[in-house]
Amino acid sequence: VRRLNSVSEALEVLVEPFEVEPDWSAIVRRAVGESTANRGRVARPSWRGALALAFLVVAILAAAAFASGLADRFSAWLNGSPGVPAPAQELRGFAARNRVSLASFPRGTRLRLLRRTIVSGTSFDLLGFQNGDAYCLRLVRTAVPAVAGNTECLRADELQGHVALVAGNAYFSVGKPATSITGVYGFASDSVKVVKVARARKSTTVRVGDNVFLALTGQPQGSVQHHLPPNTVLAVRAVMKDGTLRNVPYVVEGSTPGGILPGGNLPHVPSYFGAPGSNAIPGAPTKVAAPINHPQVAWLAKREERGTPLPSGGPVPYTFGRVIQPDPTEPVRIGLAIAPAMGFSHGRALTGNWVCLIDFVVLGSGGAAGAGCKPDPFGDGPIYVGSDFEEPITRFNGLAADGIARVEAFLASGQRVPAALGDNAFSVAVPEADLPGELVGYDSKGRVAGIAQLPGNAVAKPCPPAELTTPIGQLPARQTWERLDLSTLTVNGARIIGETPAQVRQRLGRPTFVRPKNQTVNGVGVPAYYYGGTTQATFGLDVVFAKRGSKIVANTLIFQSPSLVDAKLGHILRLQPPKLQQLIEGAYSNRYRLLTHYGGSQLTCSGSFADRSSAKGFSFGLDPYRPSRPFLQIAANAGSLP
Amino acid sequence: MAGTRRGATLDELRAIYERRLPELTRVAAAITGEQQVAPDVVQEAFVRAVKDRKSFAGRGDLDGWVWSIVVNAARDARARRRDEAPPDELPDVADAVDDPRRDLVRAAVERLSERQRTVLFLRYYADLDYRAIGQAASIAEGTVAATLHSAHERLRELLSEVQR
Repeated sequence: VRRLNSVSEALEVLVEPFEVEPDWSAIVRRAVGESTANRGRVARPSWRGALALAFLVVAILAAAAFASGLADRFSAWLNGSPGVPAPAQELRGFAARNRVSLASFPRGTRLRLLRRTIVSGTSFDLLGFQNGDAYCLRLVRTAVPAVAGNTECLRADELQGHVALVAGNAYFSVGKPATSITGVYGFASDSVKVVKVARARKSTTVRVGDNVFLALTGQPQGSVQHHLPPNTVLAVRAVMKDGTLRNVPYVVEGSTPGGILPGGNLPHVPSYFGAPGSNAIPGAPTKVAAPINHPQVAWLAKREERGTPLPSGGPVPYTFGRVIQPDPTEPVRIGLAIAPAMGFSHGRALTGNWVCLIDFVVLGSGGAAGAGCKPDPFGDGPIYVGSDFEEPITRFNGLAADGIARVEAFLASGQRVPAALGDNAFSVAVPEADLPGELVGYDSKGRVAGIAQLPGNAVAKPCPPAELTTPIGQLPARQTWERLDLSTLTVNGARIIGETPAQVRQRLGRPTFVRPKNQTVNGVGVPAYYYGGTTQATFGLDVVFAKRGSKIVANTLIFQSPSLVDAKLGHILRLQPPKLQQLIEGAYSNRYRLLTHYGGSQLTCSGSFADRSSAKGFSFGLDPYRPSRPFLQIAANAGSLP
Repeated sequence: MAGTRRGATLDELRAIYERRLPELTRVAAAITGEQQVAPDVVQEAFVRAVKDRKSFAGRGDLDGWVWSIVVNAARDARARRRDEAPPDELPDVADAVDDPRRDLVRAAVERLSERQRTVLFLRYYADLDYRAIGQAASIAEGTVAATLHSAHERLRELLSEVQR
């Protein structure tokens, strides 16, 4: 045996150089919980080596599973091949859109087709791809693949803790006459069998495959005369393979104020979406330990050319602007600009510079989506939340002052999501349903240097009963404008809807108060008349006018006088709203059909009826924050009713 | 900018991985004492680095931060193997290759302290400078030279002993 003459020779013998095949993609996949990383690079594994290797594999997988919470739950994605390769047309469409967008994905991103569904004769494709450590879903019409579409990406730490998550709300208008196609799509773990989507009308159940779901429904958009209220998605629930039902956090959207249904359950009593209580954020810091004095962004103030140039022609006439990509693996770009102050204060033009934060829509066609400017973005602390995009994944973009080394979101659900932070711009996406939250900025020593609050969602609450304190016998004498006939929608025997201001004055008398420019249409002031009061809180009747062609005509009547009397039902605003609904259904069923029942599918403290023979309709109910003044509102178009 | 830097990017980590993979794997093999598992140890370390990339605070350079993760992953793997297998069944490098001197070197190296071994491997297999070795081995830069010197001398002695 040849003798070892030096330490270096001994070390050369101990471990000789050997070939290793690099596999970066396996690392990225495993970083999000890849369960089948490529192995077998060892030339001659011994059984003992194999045992040790097996142990390591288990350890690695366990660590990944623990860290991501996903490894055993999103197998179709973690194996890297959900669905089938996207058709060439889809790939070309995506690439074309990607090329023209500032907020774009890496070139060569390969999409896979996860779902294709036909709704009301139109085909839709749900595509999926991975981008860095994020899972992305893209919903487009099959025939129009080069549009921005609905593209949502969620990182593993954003998916964490959910059996399923709604990634996007879908809104499409197709065909002629137009059909509205709405719905939701998102991720579901292996343990989910089907997803149930509860809507205002007719709930649907969709199957889960490739760890995604897609639930779309179409309905005619209708006309002014035959209008259908939106078929709002109210709740999303996952039916697990063991038969149990799990709520999928979802924020109800729609024309009315949205909010959360606690537990995803539709209320059994009339309800509305009310302001949330003050939710504690689990584990979130409450105090700043290391405040930053005079927070600023020095490079911006010095106009250093970081990132890439901000395209001109955007929403802000800036003097200096750059585009920052906080995380190179994500498509999100944030524009930071210095712009001269705009507008006036107390009659004087504002001076000085503002700092502007400009948002870009992912796969948008290049232009900015919007901008917000402030003279001092750090007036409330070193974390400035400039914008948020809602529904149903909320992205918060903002600016962190120098000295902030890390930004993290703490959510009411208990999740903690690190924000991407680069050149002082930060961005973080969180499930909207997991709000409220806090954005916490840390300095380089890990101390809390700044806290910004993230507002929560409204929650469903029972409608309060109407407070009918004044007995009918003590009400003041009726005025002419307090005599209603629901069977004809006339007031004091006269038609008001569709009449001009002069005709209304002639029939109802001189209004107590006139708002000459309740709204301005094409430079023309359109009035509103108050009867029986001078403010929103005290009027008995508000006649709201609208411009129809060249004419101004009464469009809406809002009654809130307790003395209002219907020819058939008597003091209708001295009734609890559910009772009023019941009486109207009994007395006027031939004339009106119930559009929405009180406090029900729209989750407002109101209900509505539509005229069976015209576009007219009326709603009734109360303001939950002022239950002493129930209302009845008659509209020329039932589709516009609350 | 905010803080000293903002964390590591995937591209930066990938560049280190592709540039340094042979040395990283060799050091991992030396620390674990098992060539077969070294590629997986490095993979595991990079998985950890990718997941934790935003926590890289910029103290020291990124290479040193990655090296420290690899060194710790290798140390962990070595400790797990020792917990799992009885000493007489520990797989070693001799299982995979045929040089009969390897057992002798291994026996000598095993008698160094863990710190001495690590510093020695990082210097010889990765050619890291003292600053990077300090960061990778989680020891003060000022003690690297002394540790390296003592490791050198001790290993020379041990090799003489085992070759008598």
